[in-house]
Amino acid sequence: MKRILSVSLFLALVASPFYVASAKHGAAGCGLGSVVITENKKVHQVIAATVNGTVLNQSFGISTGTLNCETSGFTQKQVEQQIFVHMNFQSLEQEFAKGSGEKMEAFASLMGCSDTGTFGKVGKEKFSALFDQNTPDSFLEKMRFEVANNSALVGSCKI
Amino acid sequence: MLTRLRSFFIIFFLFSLFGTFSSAYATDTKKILEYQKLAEVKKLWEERYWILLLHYSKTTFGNWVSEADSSSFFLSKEGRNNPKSELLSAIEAFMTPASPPSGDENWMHPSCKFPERKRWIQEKLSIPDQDFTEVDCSRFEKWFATLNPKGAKIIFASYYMNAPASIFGHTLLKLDSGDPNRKEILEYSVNYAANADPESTNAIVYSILGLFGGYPGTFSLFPYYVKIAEYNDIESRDLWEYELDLKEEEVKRMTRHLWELGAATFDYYFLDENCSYHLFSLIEVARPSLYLRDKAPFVIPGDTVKKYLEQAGLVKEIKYRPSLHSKIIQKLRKMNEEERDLYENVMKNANISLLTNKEPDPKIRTSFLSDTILDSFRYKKAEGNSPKEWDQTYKQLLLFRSKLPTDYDDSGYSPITQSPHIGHGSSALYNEVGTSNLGNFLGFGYRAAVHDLLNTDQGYIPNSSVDYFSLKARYYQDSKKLHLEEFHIIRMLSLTPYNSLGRSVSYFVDSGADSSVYEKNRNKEDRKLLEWQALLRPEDLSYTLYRLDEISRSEKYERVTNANLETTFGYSFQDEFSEGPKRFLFSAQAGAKVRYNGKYDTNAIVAPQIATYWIANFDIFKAVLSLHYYTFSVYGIPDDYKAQLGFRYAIHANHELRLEAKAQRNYNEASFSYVYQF
Repeated sequence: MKRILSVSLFLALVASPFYVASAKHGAAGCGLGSVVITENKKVHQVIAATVNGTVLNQSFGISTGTLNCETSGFTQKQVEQQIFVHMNFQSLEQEFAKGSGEKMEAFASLMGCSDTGTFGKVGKEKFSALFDQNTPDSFLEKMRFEVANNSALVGSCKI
Repeated sequence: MLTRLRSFFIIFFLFSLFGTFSSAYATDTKKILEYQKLAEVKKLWEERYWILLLHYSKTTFGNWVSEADSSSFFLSKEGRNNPKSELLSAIEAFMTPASPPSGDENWMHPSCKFPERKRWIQEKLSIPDQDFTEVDCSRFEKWFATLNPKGAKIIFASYYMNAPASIFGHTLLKLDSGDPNRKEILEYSVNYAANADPESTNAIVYSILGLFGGYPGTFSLFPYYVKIAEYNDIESRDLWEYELDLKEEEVKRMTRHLWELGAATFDYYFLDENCSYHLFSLIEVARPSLYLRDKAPFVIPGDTVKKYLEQAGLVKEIKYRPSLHSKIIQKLRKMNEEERDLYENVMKNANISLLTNKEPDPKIRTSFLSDTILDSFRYKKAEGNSPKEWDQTYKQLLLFRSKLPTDYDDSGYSPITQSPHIGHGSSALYNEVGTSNLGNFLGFGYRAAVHDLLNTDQGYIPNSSVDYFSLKARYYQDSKKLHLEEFHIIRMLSLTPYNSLGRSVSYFVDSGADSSVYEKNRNKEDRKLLEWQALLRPEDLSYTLYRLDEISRSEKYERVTNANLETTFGYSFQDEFSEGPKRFLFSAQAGAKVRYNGKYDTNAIVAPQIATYWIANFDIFKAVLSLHYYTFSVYGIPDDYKAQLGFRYAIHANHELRLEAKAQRNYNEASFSYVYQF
């Protein structure tokens, strides 16, 4: 019965565009540690895809149980920030212009900043400089610089 | 002396070495056998938890078979079908040292690969730690520590009419960590999906294989923000989060089991063994006293959400995460007239100078408008509806916005869509009585899933229908015939309003069978024949007259069932941005219809069709008028049409009364029905 129904449903579906879910994990490791990003082409593809605004597929994730889990704390943090920024660049841009928002707050916590109010304020003030090159990487680099050197942020951020 | 001593030493050494080895070996084997025996006495493999951990289910013949389809998920060769042999093998494996085969860097000792199985067996048989073989499971431990699981949520991604794989919605699981500093969106979500490579798979292959279980389904974990970006931003689907009232230990058990599932693949079936079904399995591992899986033939994600809510106290909080599109609508509904006018003028040509060069006006909240316009630009871009030049405009507006303070309260919005748990049941039974020009009839119908156009919209996408496997049959009193009135393998109707945000296309697709009324030719021919006979054979006149009378009283028309395939596309219109309930919708569409019936000269006919819909929605009352016109005359066959008017009164979400009228070529009917949904 299931098969018959299946065939019939299929008939009705052929015409439409599909979102095909994929879950190939390449060398994604464990924990947010999936972030053995350096050698993982898939993750780069996703990032590229995201930046271009095309539909991202589920190419990076954390496979459960089967794969390696080699991360060193430092790299992991950096890469985590990088993925987050690439994935959410448009939202971040908008929330920075506004000076508040859930993704901005999550980003602040990834940067080790507990005082999201100040983080948002600084981000808004420096908006034009932070986003002038319009790439996630340049924004991230500038934000890291701010977090390390801005007198208002230095107190509340732990890198 | 020295030699003797030396040889003695060597002998002693060898002896002791042998002794150590053999005794260690003997104890281990002995221990393994002891524990296996104990497990046999306790019939441990019959316990529900073991059955759940190995995903066993009973076949029709009463045998066990695991839903997992990969051999790496089992420790015994017969493990897939034999819970006992799997359990005994597990005891042995956890107590036996093993090292990786060369070259396999992903190898793990069974104790590390199946930590929850080990924990449970240890607890059940009271095995002291030192009886297990010593292993280094740092990979698992690191993974577990990263997740640091403490709580769980079921996430429902609402129905998405623009991709058939999503028309039933989707569910995923979110693990909440015990880390108070980790933001919600940085935590992990567990997704179960068919593992297909979109690069090399086209839609047709995907749907066939997806329905037949041709893809291995696997679990994967993603940071929740990835899923938010995918659903909220890219597909514009609202997310509903149901926080489960699970104890920390229950969540930890489930998470350890999730790790074990890394070794498993399951054949993926869209309709029953799908994402929602496997999340049920996970929740049952967390709390084995729940029986979530054994129910309906189809597992519709929206329905599964109801099942969580039916368990008293299982869901403790429900949260709504609007999509980008919903956020825009929310803001638009909060605008005053001046603001909405300005918004519409800006959006027309992306002329932001109307806003940026404006004199301050107390009636206009500039930052509120800027944020709404920024959202709208982003939405249009994601939909592929914005010209390249707008990118620069968007940048300018961002810069403008960064210099403004926030002059509005960005909270207190009401949800744009409703959670599926308040919706009516997805299966339905229709019971009707009616009258027509072919006599009175009694009718019944069944729908496997999900929602028809006359149903209440709560919990579903308003002004849409997805009828999967539904049929209506009639018994006509006069002809004493049972007639298949309509049958839908799948019928989808999506009436998304056209507005300044997007030129959403509305569509209708139907496949299955419909009815039409056929005028019998034989009737006419017989009459002619008899008229000739009356002239030629006057001696039989009385008989001829009797026959003529019979023919004139016999049916001239016959209702026939046709194979049917049709589709239309068009636009719908609704006052979407104003506050308050949305009462009316109008839609106009054009498309084609294929109708097959051996009684037509051309058998299969493809004809253009036009259709319109008008909907009036007053919560418990709803009226739908639909008109379809099929131009079969391109084949020299008379055109057909279908005009339907229906009124619905909902006594309760699951109990409806309907009054309907239908007119087709050569046929009219009126009916009254009671619809029960479950």
